[in-house]
Amino acid sequence: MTGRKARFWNIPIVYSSSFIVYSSSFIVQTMPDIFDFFKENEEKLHERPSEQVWQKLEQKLERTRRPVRRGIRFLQTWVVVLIILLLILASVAVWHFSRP
Amino acid sequence: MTTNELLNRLKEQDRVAQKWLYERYSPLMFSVCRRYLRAREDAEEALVSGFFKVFSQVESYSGTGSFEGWIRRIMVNECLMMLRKNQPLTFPGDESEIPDRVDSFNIEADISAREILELLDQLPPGYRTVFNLYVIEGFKHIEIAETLGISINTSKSQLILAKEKLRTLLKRMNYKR
Repeated sequence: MTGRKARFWNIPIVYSSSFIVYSSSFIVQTMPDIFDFFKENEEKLHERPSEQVWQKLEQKLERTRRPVRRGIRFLQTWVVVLIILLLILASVAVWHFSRP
Repeated sequence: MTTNELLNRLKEQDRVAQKWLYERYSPLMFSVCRRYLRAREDAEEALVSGFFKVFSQVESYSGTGSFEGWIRRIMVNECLMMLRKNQPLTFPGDESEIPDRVDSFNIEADISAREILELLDQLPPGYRTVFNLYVIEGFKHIEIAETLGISINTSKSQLILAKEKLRTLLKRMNYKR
């Protein structure tokens, strides 16, 4: 209101117009932009695939199952058992030969 | 089950753990695939090969970053590979015709999942791929350019054109404000 005399009836006009600007900016803020909209609604698109997908996947996994690791684990167990047996045998032998 | 327990069981190829992981993440990962690939069968194929890679390469997961993010990245790569396999990706649009600035626009209506998918399906593969990578996956233009083997400007222009196309489609559906 520069250069003009402020009049008392201008006051409600100024207040009401600023309220409109404020409320419209609020509306714009609450409505998402197209990019935000797609990001926010991503969960809506979650969908369970058909049962055949797991079956196909399971078949594929079965075909390529790695037997190597199992073999190694099996071997590791036997190595541990063998070491324990050897230790027992050795201690028995030591005890036997150290007798007077 | 903690993530560490799950990872150990997955490394042992425990089928129960594999099934558990699949049940937990397949709806989300299928939606990722569906956004990139128009045909449902293609999305399912990408999902199978993506989960197969997850299970067979689980030992390469370093533990830095979320496990879900790691799975998602594999799925996105699978979809991109499938897109390239089906048809080489083209990025239409003359860069000189692209406006310098696109006004942001807002959506006031509640759109169903089916309508969102329909909208995305109407975008050409090039637009859709860049749009998904930028908007949903949060890639930067430089990362998109490296991933797709295109220039940064092409990535930017595809995104602008995608937005313009979506604006037109939404206007046609009376959803644009």
